[in-house]
Amino acid sequence: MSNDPENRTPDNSQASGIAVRLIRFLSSMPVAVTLLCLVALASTIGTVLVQNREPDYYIANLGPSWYRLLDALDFFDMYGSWWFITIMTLLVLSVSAALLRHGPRFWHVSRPLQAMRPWPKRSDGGFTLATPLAADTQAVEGVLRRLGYTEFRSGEEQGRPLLLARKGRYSRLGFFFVHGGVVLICIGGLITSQLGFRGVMNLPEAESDDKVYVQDGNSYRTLQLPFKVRNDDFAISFYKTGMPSEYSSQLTLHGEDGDIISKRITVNDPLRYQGITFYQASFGDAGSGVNFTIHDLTTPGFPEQRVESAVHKELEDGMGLKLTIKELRQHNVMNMATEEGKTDLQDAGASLDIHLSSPSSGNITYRIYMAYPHMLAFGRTGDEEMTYDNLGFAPAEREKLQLLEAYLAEVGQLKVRDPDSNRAAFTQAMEKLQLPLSRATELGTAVATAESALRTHKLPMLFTFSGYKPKMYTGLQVARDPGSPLVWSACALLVIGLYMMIYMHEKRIWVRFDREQQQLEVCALLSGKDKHPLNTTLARLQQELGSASSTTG
Amino acid sequence: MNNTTVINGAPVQPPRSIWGYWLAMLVLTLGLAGLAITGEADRLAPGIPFIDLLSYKLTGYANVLLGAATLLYLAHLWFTQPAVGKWATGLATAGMIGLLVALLTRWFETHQVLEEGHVPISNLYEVTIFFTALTTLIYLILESLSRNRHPGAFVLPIVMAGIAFELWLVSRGQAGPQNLVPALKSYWMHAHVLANFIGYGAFAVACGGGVMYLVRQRAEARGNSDGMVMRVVPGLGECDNLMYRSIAIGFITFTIATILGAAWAYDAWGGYWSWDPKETWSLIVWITYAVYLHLRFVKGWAGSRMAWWAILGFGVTLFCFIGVNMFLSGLHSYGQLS
Ligand code: HEM
Repeated sequence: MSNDPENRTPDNSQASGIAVRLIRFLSSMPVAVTLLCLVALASTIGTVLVQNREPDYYIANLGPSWYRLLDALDFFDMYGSWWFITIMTLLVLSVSAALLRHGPRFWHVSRPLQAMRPWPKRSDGGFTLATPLAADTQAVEGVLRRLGYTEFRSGEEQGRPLLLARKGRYSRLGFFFVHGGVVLICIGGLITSQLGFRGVMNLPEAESDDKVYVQDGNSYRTLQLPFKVRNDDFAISFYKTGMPSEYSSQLTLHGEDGDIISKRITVNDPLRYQGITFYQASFGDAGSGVNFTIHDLTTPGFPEQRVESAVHKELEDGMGLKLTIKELRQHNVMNMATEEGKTDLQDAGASLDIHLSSPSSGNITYRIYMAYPHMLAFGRTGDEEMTYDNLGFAPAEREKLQLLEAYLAEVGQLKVRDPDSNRAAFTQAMEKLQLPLSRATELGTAVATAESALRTHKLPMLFTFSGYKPKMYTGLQVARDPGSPLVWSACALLVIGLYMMIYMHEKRIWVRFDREQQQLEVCALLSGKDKHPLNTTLARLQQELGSASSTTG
Repeated sequence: MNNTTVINGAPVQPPRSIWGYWLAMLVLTLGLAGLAITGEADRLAPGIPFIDLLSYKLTGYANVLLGAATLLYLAHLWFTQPAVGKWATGLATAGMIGLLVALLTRWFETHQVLEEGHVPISNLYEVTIFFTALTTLIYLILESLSRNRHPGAFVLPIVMAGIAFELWLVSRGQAGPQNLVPALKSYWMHAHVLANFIGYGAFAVACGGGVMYLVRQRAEARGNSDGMVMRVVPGLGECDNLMYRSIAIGFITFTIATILGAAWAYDAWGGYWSWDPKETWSLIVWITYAVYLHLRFVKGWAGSRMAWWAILGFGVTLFCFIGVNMFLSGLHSYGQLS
C-alpha cells in the first residue's frame, strides 16, 4: 500500500511463481482501471439499448441485420450475458488479487511500533521551530498525545534526543474494507442470482395461488412456492386528480393445515416470510363484471341486447363481428374549468372501453360513461385522439331511439332535403309512433342532434353502460434474495472503509531536539501517495508546540 | 518565532474553526423559515396556483441575490478590493439561505395545498432548487475554510446554470407541487435524494476547481506573472486540493446515496439493483470517480489530467441527474419531463 522503503516487507519481491505473477498482473492499476472503464462503457450501452424486449420491437427499431448481430452478442439481455459476467468476474478477481497482494504487508505494517527508527532520509514534510520546549521531551510527547498519537519510541542520534510518534496504525484497514466490500457485494449479487429468484404473481381478490412467473431472458418460467398466497382484499385510494395515491393488499400465506401469516402490504412495505418477500408492485383488472346494452343501428327496429360479461372477455356474433371488453375505469377526472388556466377537477365517474371490430366498419373503440349516457366518445384505429360528440339523448330511451329510426326511414325516401321536407318527415314519424304533437319541440331537438351526430360519425352501434362490479388483482413482485444480508453488510463495510481511506492515515512523526540551539526539528511520513493531509497536521502541531512553549516557558 | 508553517515550500495556515458561524446561519435559516410559515399559514388553501405560493416568490428573490453574487464574484476578478469579495459572499449567503427558507416553506405549503404533503425534494423542479442551494452552501463552507473568495467566480456560474434550468422548468409548467406516486412515499427516498444532491453539489464544486486549475495553468504557461488570472486564481496546488477534497466528500456521500437508493428499491420494487437506467448511470458516475481516486492514490496523478477528469466527471454526473430523465426511461418517475 505504501511504497515507502521503510515498510517494505521481505515478502514476494523475489518470488516469481506463476501465481504471484498472475496476482500482480490482475491487480495492476492498468488492468483494474481498464476493467472499471469496460463496466462503465457496457453499462452505458445497456441503458441506451432497451433491455429484454420482444424481438419484434428490436427488429422494428434496428432492422433485421442489426438485430441478428446484437442478439447473437446477447446485447438485449446484456447484464446476464456471458461477456458481461466475464468482465464482472475479472473485476472481482482483480480486486481480490489486490487484497491478496496487500494482505501480508498489512500485517507487517500494522504491528505495534517495534523499535526506534532513525531519522528518515526522505520525508513528506516537516519544519524547524525555535522553542524552549527543545529541552523537554516529556512536554513534546504530551502535545503529540493530545493530537492523537498513541505510540512512542525515543532514542538518541549523534547525542541529540529523538522522539518517534505514530498514529493510525490500523488506518490501512480502510483499503481492505473498501475492496473487500466491493468483492462481497459482487458475491452477494452472485448468490442472489444463483440461489434467489424474482418474479411476478397476479392474484385476483379472494383467490389463492402458489405459482410465480419468473422472467428468463424474454420468456417466462413458473416456479412453485412451498405455500399458497391468498389475496384477502385489495384496496386503492386516489387523489382528487384521479392518480392513485396508495394501494395495498391484505395477503395471507397458508398451507395445507391453515393460515401461516397475514399482513397488509403497501408499496413501500412488503411482507417477508422465510426468506421470500412479497412486494406490492402493481394492480389491474381481474375481470370486473360489467353490464351494458348494445343498440344495433344496422338492423331494422334498432334491437337492443343486454350483455352481462366481464373485462377482458370477447363476444362474437358468428358473422365476423367481434366485441372486446377492454378496460373499466372507475374514475375519470377531468378539468371542467371553462376559463383558460383555471382548474376545476371533477370526477366523471366510471367508463368502459369496448373495442368493436367488424368487416364492414373496421375497428372502433367506444368509451361509454355510466353517468353520461348521451355522450358519444370513440376512437378509430389509426386515429390518435378520441372523438367526443353529443347524441342528444341516451340510447336507452327507447321511444326516442325508435322515433330516430322512423325519422331516418322517412328522410331516407326524400329526394330533396330542405327544412320543410325534414319537418314533414318528422311529423310523419311522430304520427307513425302515435306520439302527441305537443312534444314535437323536445323530441325534434333530440332527434335532429342525434341524426347529425350519426351521419357524421357513421357508427354501427351504440352502447349503454349500466353497471359494474369491480374485481381487481394485486400485482405482486415475489423475490427470494439470499445474498442481500451479505450485500448490506458489505455496503456498511465499504462506506466505513471509504471514510478511513480518505480521512485516516498512518502518520509517523520524528522530533529531533537540539538543546543548544533551542530548537526542534520535525519530520513526518504519511502512508499513501496523497500527501496533502499532512500539511494541516503539521500546521496544527506547530501551533500546539508554539502555544505549549509559551505557557511552559 | 515565526507563526506560519512552511511545508514543502508553501506556507500553510492552521485550519480555523468555522462551525460557530455556520451554526448561527442554521439558526437564522430555521428562524426565517418559521417566520415565513407563520406569515403564510392562514392564506393557504388547496389548489391555489403555485405562483401565489410564498416559496415560489422567495425562490425568485433568492435567485436574484445569487445572480448579483455571481456578478460580484466575477467583478472581483478585476476589482480586487476585499469589499467586493465580502459583498459577493454576503449576497451568496443570503441567496443560499433564501433558497433553504423557500424549501422549508414549501415543505409546509405542500401539506396545505396538496391532499398529502411531502418533503420538497420530490420532483425535478424541487431537486433543482435543492441542488443550487446545496452547491452554494458547500462552496461557501469551503470558502470560509480557505479564506479565498476567488473560486466563487467559477462555482457560482454553475449555480446560475442550475437556476436557468429551474426557470426553464417553470416555463414548462413543472413548478407546482405535485402529488406523489405511491413508490415515492418512503423515508429511504428522502435520505437517498438528500445524499445524492450533496454528492452532485460536491462534484459541481470539483468541476469548478478543475476549470480554475486549467485557467491558471494556461496563464502560467503564457508567462504573464501579473495578469488577472495569476492574481485571483489560487495556486495550482490549491485548485488541485479543492478538486480532490470535493471529490472525496462527494464520493463518500454519493456512495451512501447509491446504497440508500438500493435500500429504497429493495423495499419498493423487490430488488436492490435492477439495472434501471438511473441506477446504472449512478454506477457509471461512481466508477468515474473511483477511477479518479485510484489514479490519484495509486498513480499519484495530479494536475491538468485530473482537472479534465473532474470536469468530464461532472458531465457524466449531469447526465445522470438530468440526461437520464430526458433521454432514457426507467423506474425513476420523479424526474419525468412531460
Ligand atoms: C469496483 C471498485 C474497485 C476496484 C475494481 C478496485 C481495484 C483496485 C485494484 C486492483 C487495486 C490494486 C492496485 C495495486 O495493487 O497496486 C486497487 C488499489 C487501490 N484502490 Fe481500489 N478498487 C475499487 C474501489 C476503490 C475505491 C472505491 C477506492 C476508494 C477510495 C479505492 C482505493 C484504492 C487505493 C487507495 C488503492 C491503492 C492501494 C495501494 O497503495 O496500492 N478503490 N484498487
